[in-house]
Amino acid sequence: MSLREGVPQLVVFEEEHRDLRQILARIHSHSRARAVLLLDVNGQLVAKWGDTSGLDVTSFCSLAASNIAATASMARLVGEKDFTILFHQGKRDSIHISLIGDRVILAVIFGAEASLGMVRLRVRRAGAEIEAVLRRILSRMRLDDRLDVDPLCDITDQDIDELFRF
Amino acid sequence: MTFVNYSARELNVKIVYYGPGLGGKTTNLRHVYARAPTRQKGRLISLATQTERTLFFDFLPLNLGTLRGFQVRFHLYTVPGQVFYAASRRLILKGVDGLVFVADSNPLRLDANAESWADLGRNLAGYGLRRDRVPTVIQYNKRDLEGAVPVDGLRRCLGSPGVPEFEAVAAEGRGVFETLKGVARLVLSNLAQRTPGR
Ligand SMILES: Nc1nc2c(ncn2[C@@H]2O[C@H](COP(=O)(O)OP(=O)(O)OP(=O)(O)O)[C@@H](O)[C@H]2O)c(=O)[nH]1
Ligand SMILES: [Mg+2]
Repeated sequence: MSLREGVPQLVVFEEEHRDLRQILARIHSHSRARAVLLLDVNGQLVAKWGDTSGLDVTSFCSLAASNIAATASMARLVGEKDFTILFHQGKRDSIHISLIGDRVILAVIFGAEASLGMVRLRVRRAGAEIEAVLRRILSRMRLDDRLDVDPLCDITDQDIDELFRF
Repeated sequence: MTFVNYSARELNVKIVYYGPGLGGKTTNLRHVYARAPTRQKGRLISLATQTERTLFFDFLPLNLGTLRGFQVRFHLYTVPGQVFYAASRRLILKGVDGLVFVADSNPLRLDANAESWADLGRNLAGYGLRRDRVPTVIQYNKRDLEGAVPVDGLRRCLGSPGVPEFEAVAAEGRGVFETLKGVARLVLSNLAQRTPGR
């Protein structure tokens, strides 16, 4: 299951992780959002910024990714290439979810102090920046040999038992 | 598979439970959820119909602690087994790192098992994946049923794929963790050979 076989696999290194967080921080402060999350299309959190206290981030990411996937499928059924943006407005909080490229999803959670227009604008600008970082990540994944997973080569039953001690 | 923040060595693994409708996929997740300690599990999310059939998926995140310096997280998903939900089933399969195929030992479900197994192969191919390259285990569930099809017969109905197998009575929790550990072991030990840059 290597990249060659087309499995979406992301290895986010420290430097790029920091860059991504900075991009999220800018969206957060400029749009006055409550929280900004970046996840991969499989629903795994890549980076976040802002106030996520009281939010079940893991569940949120999984549902956001599934939602985007379902919407993309609906788009194809009606002959659209993609619906890349989802927006849900609540009484107190709203969420803006957008697909960036074909690997990551940006989710912005914001309240009344932010405006949808501003969120849209900031998300659109950040999209290009995020894509640039992703391109760096991808080329690095092709070149970088630091991914030392040798410790996992000779996994034993005992290792597995320890992971599942319950 | 996703590594987030390489220096922190977080390893996120997506496991999908696949199989015919009513085979016991959701039951597997419920048992894992019931047994996992609070600090190691997230919420169990079930997008289900009013009759408790899976509509889109079940989702259970597990934080398994560290393994040789890696923070290991498992995301367990089930697909809806009903033929009708083919489109959402396909979506859940995307990005899968390991598969548990839950076969039903009920003799009336032999065809359904075979059909679901074939459906799985087609859907993997749709993502450019070869079935024999995706770590997979089979669980023969409902071994408690009177008249349960012998394991041999179930294996043959799936074309004897030669992957690790586990017998289970998921409703009683029997074999559930053995199965999960089985797929965990396959996924983690396969990781080294298929890492980019090698
Ligand atoms: N006898 C017996 N019944 C079981 C066993 N495991 C699950 N069941 C029952 O089988 C039924 C279906 O189980 P689910 O876990 O909902 O099946 P599923 O595979 O998630 O079904 P879908 O969501 O439609 O794909 C439930 O009534 C379970 O209680 C088992 O080991 N033995
Ligand atoms: Mg189910």
